[in-house]
Amino acid sequence: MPDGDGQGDAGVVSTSPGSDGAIGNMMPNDGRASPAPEERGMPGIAKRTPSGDMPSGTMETRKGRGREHDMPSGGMGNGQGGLEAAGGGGGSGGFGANGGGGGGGDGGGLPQVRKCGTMDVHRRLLSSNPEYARRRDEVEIEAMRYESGEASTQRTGITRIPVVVHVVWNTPAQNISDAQVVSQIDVLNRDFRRTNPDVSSTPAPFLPLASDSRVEFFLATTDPGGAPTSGIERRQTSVASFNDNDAVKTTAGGGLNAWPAANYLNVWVCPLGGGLLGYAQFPGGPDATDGVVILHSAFGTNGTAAAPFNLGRTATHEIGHWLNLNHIWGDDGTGCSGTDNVADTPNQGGANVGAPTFPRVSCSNGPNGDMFMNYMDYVDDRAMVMFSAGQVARMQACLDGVRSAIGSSAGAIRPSSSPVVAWGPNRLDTFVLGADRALYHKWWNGSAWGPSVTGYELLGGVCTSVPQAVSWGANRLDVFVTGTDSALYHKWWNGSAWGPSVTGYEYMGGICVDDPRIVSWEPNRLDVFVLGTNRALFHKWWNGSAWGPSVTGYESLGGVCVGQPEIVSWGPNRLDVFVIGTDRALYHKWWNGSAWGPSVTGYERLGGVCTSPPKVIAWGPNRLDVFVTGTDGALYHKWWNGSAWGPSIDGFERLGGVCVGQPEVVAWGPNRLDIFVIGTDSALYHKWWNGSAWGPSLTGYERQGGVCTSQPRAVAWGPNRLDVFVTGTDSALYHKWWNGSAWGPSLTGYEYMGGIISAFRPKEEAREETIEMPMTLQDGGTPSIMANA
Amino acid sequence: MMETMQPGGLSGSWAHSFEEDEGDVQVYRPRDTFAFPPSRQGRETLDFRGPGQVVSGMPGPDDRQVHTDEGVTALGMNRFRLGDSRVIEVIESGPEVLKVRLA
Repeated sequence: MPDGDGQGDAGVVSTSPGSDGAIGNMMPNDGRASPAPEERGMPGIAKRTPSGDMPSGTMETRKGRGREHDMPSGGMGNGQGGLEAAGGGGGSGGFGANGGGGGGGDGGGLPQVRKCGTMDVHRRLLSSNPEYARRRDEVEIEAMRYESGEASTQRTGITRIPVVVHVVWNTPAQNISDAQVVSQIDVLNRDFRRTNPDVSSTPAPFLPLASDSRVEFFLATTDPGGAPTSGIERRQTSVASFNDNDAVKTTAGGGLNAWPAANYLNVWVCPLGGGLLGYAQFPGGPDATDGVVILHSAFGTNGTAAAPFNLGRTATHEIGHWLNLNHIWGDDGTGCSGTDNVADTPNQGGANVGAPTFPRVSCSNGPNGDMFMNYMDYVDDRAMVMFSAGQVARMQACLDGVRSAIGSSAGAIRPSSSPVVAWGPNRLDTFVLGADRALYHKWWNGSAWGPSVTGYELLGGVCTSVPQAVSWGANRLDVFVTGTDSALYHKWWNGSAWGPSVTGYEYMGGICVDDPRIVSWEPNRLDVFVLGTNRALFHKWWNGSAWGPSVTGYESLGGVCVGQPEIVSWGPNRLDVFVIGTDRALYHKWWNGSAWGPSVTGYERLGGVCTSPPKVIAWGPNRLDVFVTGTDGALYHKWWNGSAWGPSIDGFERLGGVCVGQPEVVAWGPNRLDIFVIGTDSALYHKWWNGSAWGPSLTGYERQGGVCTSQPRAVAWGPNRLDVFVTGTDSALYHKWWNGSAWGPSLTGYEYMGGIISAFRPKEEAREETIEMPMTLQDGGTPSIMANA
Repeated sequence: MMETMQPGGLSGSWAHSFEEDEGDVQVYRPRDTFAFPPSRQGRETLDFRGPGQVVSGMPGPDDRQVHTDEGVTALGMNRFRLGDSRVIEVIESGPEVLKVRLA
C-alpha cells in the first residue's frame, strides 16, 4: 500500500460541479422521471403477481441436487464439498414468498406475538380511551411473556437512557442546582444497577431477588435539534404549584414541553401542590406527556431535597412506573385480590408507609410478609432498596417493546453503513435505487411493511452508488449516495421528516469512486469515507454540530485502494479502516481517539490476495473479524483478538466455498457471526460462528436457495434475529429472516418485496474499472498467497 | 355537632389530611390552599361540584389521581351516600376543615 506520498486530493477537496454545499440541493437530474408520488411503486412494476417474479425453471433445476453442486468446490484444497445441503427438504419455489410448496407459502409477514387473554390490568381505567387501552394491552402481554420467562431481553449489556430534566421553578429556591440534578442521576444509576449500598439491608429471604435492572441514565448531551446540551433546561413560571394535570409538561401550561419521548426520558422537577411527591405515565401513553414529574424537594440528595424523601427514591419509584412497574400491593386498596403482575413479589394488602419493621405480614403472606423494602411500595426513601427479578423482567419487556427506541446498549455492536439498517428492535429500513436510479425506501415498523409490502417511498435523486445508510439513534437515519457528478450527497430522517426535504439532498462535494462508507460511533457522530479519483482514501466527519474538515472538504488518508473501503468502530472514538491495495493484499489503518495509525496516510499490511472488498465486523470492544474471498473464490477470515491478529498478521483462516462477490457478515451478539455469500449457482449460502465452532462446518455452508443478482444484505435487529435481502433475476427485492428458531418464509423461500432494483450491490462496471487501474506504488513486498489457518 | 346539613350544604374541594385523622374520623383540608406535607401515599380528594355531585379522587397506579363522578344523596342526620355504596357522616364542616366518618 502506498503511503500517500503526495497523491494529493485532486478532484476531492471542495470540487463542486454544482452549487456549493447549500442545504437542500437537489441531485442532478433529480427524479424527473419518477412515478406519481401516489403510486409509490418503483418504475416498471405493474402489479406483478408474486408467482411471476422469479423464473421458476431456474429454481426447479436446483431441487434435489446434492451439496456438491451448489458451490462448486473445484480448486479447493479441502476435500469437503463446500456446503451443507439444503437438507433435501427444499422443494420450495425459491424466491417468491407465495410460491407454492416447500413451506414457502407463508410469506405474508413476520410472526406476531402470541396473545394472552388473562391480562386486564387497568382496563377499568382505560375504557374511555380504546386506543390507549389497546396499547396498554400490548404492553402487558409482552410484559407477561418476559416475566414468565417465555421471552427474554433483546438488549445486550446495559441500556443507557438519555435524560432531560426540565426544571420549572416559581421561587428561586425551587430552581435547583445542577449538582442536585446530578445527585439524582447518581441515585438512579445505583438503584437501577443494584449498586446502592443499602441493598444490603434487604431481609435475607428477599435478598436473592434483589436484581440489577441493567439500565443506566445520563443527562442528554444532544438536544432534539442536534445541538449540544447539558440535559437540563430551566424556566421560571408564574404557577405557584402544579398538580398531576400535566400542565407542567407544556409551555402553555406554565411548564416546558417534552422532548421526543422516543429518544429521551423526560423528567420535570417543579413545585407540586397537595403534598404530591411525584407521578408518572405508564408506557403506551401520549408522547407529549410521557415521562415523570417530581417535587423539587423530593429530587436528588442535596439542595432542596428534604427528609424523609431526600434519597432520590421518588424518581426511582416513578421511573419504575415509566418502565411499566405497578405498585407492589396491586392497586386494589387494601385488598388481597390485586396484583402487580410480578410473580416473585408476595401478595400484599395495602401500601406500606414510613419505615416498617421486617416481617410485616398481610394477605397470609407469612412468614416473610410484604416486600415493603421494594421501590414500588410507598415507604420512605431510606426504607426502599430493591427491584425484584420479576420487576426487572417487566422493565426489560418494556424496553424491548413499547420503549424499544430509547437508549442504546453500551456494548452495542455498531454496524457500518449498508443499504439495510435497523435502528431498533423489530425495525428495518431498506434503501435501493430504482430503474430511474432514484433512491427508494421501504421499512418494517414491527407489524407491517411501509409504504406497503411491495411499495416504496420515493426519495428523489439520480444516484450512481449503492445507497449507504447508518443510524446513530432511535428513529434516526443518515443516507449517503453519489450523484451523477460523482459528488457525495446526504439526506437524513430526524424522526419526523426527511432533511433537507423528502427528495432533496445535502451536497457534500468530492468526486467519488465507488460507494461511500459510513460508521457512527456515538449519537450524532458520523464518519464518512470515500475513494477519490486517484483511489486514495478520503474522510469527512460530522461531530454533532458541523462537518469536518468542511461541508464539502475531505481529509486525505493516502493509499491507492482497489474496491471499496470497509469501516468499523468497536468503541467510542475508535475507527478501523480496511482496504485492498493494488497488490490485492489487505491493508488496515485505525483512529485511536487521538491519531491515525500507523500514520495519517500509512497502512498496516495484513497479507492475502483478495478478490473481494473486505467485510469486517466488530462484535465487541477491541475485536475485529475480517472476511474476504481469495483467488480460489473461497472465503477467508482473519481476526484481531485485542492483542494480535489471528491466525497471523498476514495469514487467513480458509472457510471454503466458491463465492461470487463480497461476503456479508452480521453479528447479532458477542462472539456470534453470520456470514452470507452467493455461490456460483447464484443461490444464497450461510455459515455461522456460534462462539466455539463454525456451522455447519469449517468449510461448509447452509444452502438457502434463490437465484440472486445482488450481494446479500443482512441485518440483525436483536439477538438471534437475522433479516437478509437480495435481488432476484426480475430485479425485485426479496427478503428472508431467521426468527430464532426457523427461517422464514422457509429455508430456501423468500418474501417478495417488489420493485426493480438497479443498485443494491457494488456496480459491476466499477469492479472492472478497478481491475484496469494502473498498478502503481506497490509496497510491502510480494503479494503472498493466503495461508490456511 | 353541627346541625343537619342539606345535600347542597357540601361544597368545596378537599384532600385527605390523613396525618390529622382522629381515630375513625378522617380530616379533610382545602385541596388547593392547605399546605399539605409531602407524602408518598397519595391523598383521596372530594370535589363537591354543586348540588348532588361530587368528583372523588383516589391515588392511582401511576401516582396520579383517578377521578370518579359520583352522585351525592342526603340520607339525613348529616349522613350522605357518595355514589352507590360509600356513606359518610359529616362530623364538622367549615371553610378550613371537613371531618367525616365512614359509616
